Amino acid sequence: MNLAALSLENAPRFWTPVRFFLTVPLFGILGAAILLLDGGQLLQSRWHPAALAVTHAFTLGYIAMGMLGALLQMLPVLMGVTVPGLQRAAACLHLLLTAGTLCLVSAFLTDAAPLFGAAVLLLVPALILFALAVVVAIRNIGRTRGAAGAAQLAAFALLLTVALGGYLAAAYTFDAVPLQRGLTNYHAAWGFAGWIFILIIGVSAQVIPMFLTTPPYPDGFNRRLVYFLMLLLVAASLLPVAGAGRAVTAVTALLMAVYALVTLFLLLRRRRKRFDITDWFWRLGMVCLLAGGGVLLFAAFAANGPAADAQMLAGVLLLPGFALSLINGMLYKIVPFLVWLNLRMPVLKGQVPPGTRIYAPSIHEVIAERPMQGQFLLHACGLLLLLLSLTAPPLWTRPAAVLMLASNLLLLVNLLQAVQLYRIHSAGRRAA
Amino acid sequence: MMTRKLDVRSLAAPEPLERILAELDILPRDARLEVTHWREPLLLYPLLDERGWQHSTVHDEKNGIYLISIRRPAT
Repeated sequence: MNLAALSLENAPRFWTPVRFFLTVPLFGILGAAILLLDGGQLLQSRWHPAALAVTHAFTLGYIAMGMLGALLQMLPVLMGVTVPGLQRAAACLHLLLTAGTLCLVSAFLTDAAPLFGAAVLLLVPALILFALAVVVAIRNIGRTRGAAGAAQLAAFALLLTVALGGYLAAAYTFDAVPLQRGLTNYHAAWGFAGWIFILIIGVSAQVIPMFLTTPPYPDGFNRRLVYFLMLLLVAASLLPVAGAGRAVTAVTALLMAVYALVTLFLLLRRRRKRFDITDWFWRLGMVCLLAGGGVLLFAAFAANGPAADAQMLAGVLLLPGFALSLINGMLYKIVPFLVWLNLRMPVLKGQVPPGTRIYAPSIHEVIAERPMQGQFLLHACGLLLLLLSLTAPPLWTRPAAVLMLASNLLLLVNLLQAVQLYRIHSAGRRAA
Repeated sequence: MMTRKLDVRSLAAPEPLERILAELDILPRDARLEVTHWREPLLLYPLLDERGWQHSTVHDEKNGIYLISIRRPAT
């Protein structure tokens, strides 16, 4: 292992990943606001324009935003990948992802072809270049096992997801491009099972034992799961066999259930029993993954193909339930860790000038515990009401949206609390 | 040489690093610190190198632990 490359000298500046993390709750607020204004019509069908708008506010603005921010921090520090011009490239990527997602969400809501065109121009080149850079950089360092290997495969899946999404958006823009709705299933499968799920499996092998003091995952478990998922996705995409898609969905659902059960088992065996809000976000996420996998499995064997309500149920369980919960929980680890890293490490390395008034917080002091617990309750209750909305839309949708809105506002306030702590104390050092 | 033992397996990041450095601050001159960790403390090594501490790591695969031995440089 290249220990020199793991030196913190390679770590990006504080703002490089943090600007991504601060944008995450803003898109959570946007998604909840659309749900609030819509009042529940969008829950009737996955093809409803507002449903597509909320889905992309969550998948691009929340999930991809959080995952790209985390990758920009992890690639150089934990995986030893050095990217020239990282700070500037990350700032551009953040700007393009934010603007592109806003265009795409607006395009779905207004059905305006120019907005679809703008979204393609802003998102596709930026995300494809990022994904290619990750694939090539990890290949160059020659570490294709563990989190680095999973990140490489996830980046490859992101590449395909964006290419398919770009084609679909182009079909909304230009009459000459035929809209092939069948491609949406491949776009969703590569996006969820490839990009999101594979990266989470790979990264969780490192961060769950590290931040939540669980025993490690069984030897080779995460690696095998990642390869198996990739194999299934490739098979489902290339095999022109009737029923192959259904079989692959069923096996993928089983793999989701296995991963969720193993992770829950590890979370129950934490070495330190101290209350930790990230633990609860992950437990909630794993229960949703287990349930979402169950719904997919059931739908795969339904006599007349998956029913529309089963698809919506699986979507709610897997995106807001699983992916948003995990990213929300991880933000409460990564952001305080970055504040600690950037305030404490210069002290440990003797880089602070003599006479400087030093305050380097413990990681537990960065964000107050109570507001994080309150935000978890808002998130969990909002999710529960959103699930109830699938059965009685007019009754529960608006309360669910209000809770989700409040949850994301509080998440933003909590993260800003951490950032403010960093600003005050880093400014104090610069002034000294 | 006296050996002081420190088990950081139940601590969440970044507490193991803080505890190890705090322990090294009060380590007697002729002693060495033996740390039991469940993972290799990659962020710690550059800090030890900068301070001139000598260190070696053994991976006990059977028990799934890392044993890190740290002592002051020979003067």
